[in-house]
Amino acid sequence: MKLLPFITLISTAAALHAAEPITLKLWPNGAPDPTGFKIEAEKEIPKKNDADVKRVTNVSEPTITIYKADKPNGTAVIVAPGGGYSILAIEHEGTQVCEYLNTIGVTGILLKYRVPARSKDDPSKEPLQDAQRAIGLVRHHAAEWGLKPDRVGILGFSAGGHLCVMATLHANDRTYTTDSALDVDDATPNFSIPVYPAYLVTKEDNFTLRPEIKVTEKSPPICLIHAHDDKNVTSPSGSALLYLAYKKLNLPAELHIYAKGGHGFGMRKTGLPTADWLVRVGEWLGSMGWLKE
Amino acid sequence: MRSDAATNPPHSPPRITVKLASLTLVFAALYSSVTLCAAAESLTLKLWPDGPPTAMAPKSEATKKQIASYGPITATHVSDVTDPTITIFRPEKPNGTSVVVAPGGGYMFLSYASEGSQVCEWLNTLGVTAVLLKYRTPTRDEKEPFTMPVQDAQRAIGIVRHHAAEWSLDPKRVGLLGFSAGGNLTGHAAWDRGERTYPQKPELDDARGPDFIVFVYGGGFLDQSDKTKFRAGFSVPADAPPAFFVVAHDDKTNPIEATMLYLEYKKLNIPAELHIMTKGGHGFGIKVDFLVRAHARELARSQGFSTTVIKPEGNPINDWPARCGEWLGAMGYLKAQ
Repeated sequence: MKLLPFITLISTAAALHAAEPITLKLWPNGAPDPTGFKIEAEKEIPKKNDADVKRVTNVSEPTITIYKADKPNGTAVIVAPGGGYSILAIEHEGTQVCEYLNTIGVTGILLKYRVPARSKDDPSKEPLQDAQRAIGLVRHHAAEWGLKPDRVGILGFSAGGHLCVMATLHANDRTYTTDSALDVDDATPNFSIPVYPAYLVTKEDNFTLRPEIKVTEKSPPICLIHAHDDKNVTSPSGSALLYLAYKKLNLPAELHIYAKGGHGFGMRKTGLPTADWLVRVGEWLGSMGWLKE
Repeated sequence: MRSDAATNPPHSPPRITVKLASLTLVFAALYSSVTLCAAAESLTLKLWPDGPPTAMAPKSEATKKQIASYGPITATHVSDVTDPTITIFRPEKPNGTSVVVAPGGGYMFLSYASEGSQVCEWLNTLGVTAVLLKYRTPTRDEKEPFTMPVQDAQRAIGIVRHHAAEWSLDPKRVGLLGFSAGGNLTGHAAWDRGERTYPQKPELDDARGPDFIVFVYGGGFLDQSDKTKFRAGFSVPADAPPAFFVVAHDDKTNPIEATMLYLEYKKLNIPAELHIMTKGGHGFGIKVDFLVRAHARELARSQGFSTTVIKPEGNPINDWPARCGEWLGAMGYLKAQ
């Protein structure tokens, strides 16, 4: 019982710490938006009811927010919320994920990428720049944040899942001028966790991968999560086909497709087995050796 | 290392701290009960009271050699099954669902414990009645090694449906679960739509196939020369039963097969679930350790304790039965009838 004052102190410090995660601008000199592109002020759209999701839109100043684990094991996961490249489901596909990751010693890094899409033809162009830059920043700050630069993964939902896959397969296809103080030469994440990723398959045929979804020998380990009753451009066939492409090259891969769950379940407590998907991800991280200190 | 944040409702039962010593005792007790309770209440029935419909040819020298290379034949490593049987494992409170379990063994032998009796014990913890299928083996020398084992599975399902009332079962909730070669037999029993290969007896047979299947590292449906395609003539029928597929990524072409079968299910819009764990290889079956933890969870739940004190251990593949149990639950197969 004599430890009590210390415990109180520690928990106060932890509470203070948790209350103020660090936020960093990805582009200190302004993000490279297309010429003439105008956007309204960033805004949060609060939940209408319990079943609704908190959204953020009009993001022109993309950031990362660092959710440090109390006892970091060195692994970091960049979290990209979904929202059709139009909004960001910042809470149940964002902050809540980072908070869970902290409980397994993983530092969560919330990626607030630019939305809405600047171009309908290439909606992931600017978000991919943001993800590549985020990987660079995390690796540059690794020592400072108690992280291992070779244990930086990315996880994304829906459109953020597409972004996650693009950042995994096109890590070094840059459409901006890199800055050696903020970027790294090789922005390939060390692992990738697409959750009900969107746009992997074509609109016309949900059983054909889009041409840019190409796995190479350099592609890092992947863990795919999807629900069987998801459909159209977010069909689980996309995850299954991406898995097969990994298997063909004999690269480490894991795939969980749940019978029920639909789209966008995120951190919702649905009572279905899908609600435990992040526990499965934690087990995968452990089996790959990434939860060891 | 894992938190129950994602799984526990806000008003979950209080967590308990179990002293290591007492936990060890509980586990020791469970280990012995796991090995003892199997024999307690099982009933064994012959599938063919008048003898099987097809006689087995003597096995070739090559098959004899091949079988010998896997070690001696024992009570848990069974072969030379000419008079196939089912053994019924009944749970304390049957929920009406039953699962016929087909062990693997390359149509040479049957892995009768880790892919058999232990699986039945696990199913019993879910309230599911398990039916261990000792199918004819070896059939490796046959042109179609699955033909006789599929006859056995079809007859087994028929017998279960005929005994449904007596065993407190729902005749429309009879599943078939198979490992490896047993998975191959499960697939044929679920997806083949040709005529049955033996004369049907109305008092023992039933025309319908399984109501759902669990396909554990099964194979044999791909083209042998091009494993990106199915065998000529094979397709998943539009009335295929719901399926749960589980396999390890590092199990040769078996994960390709499971994924391709899964994609057919998706195309046909038939309920399916697929889990491919990165590591696990072939033949992991059900570990005694998993059973012990399953019993411990059951005990904790019955006492109103949180089950988070019983942690998963080692490789996630070892917990595949937990994933399968969750699937059975999500599909409604664990509701009391």
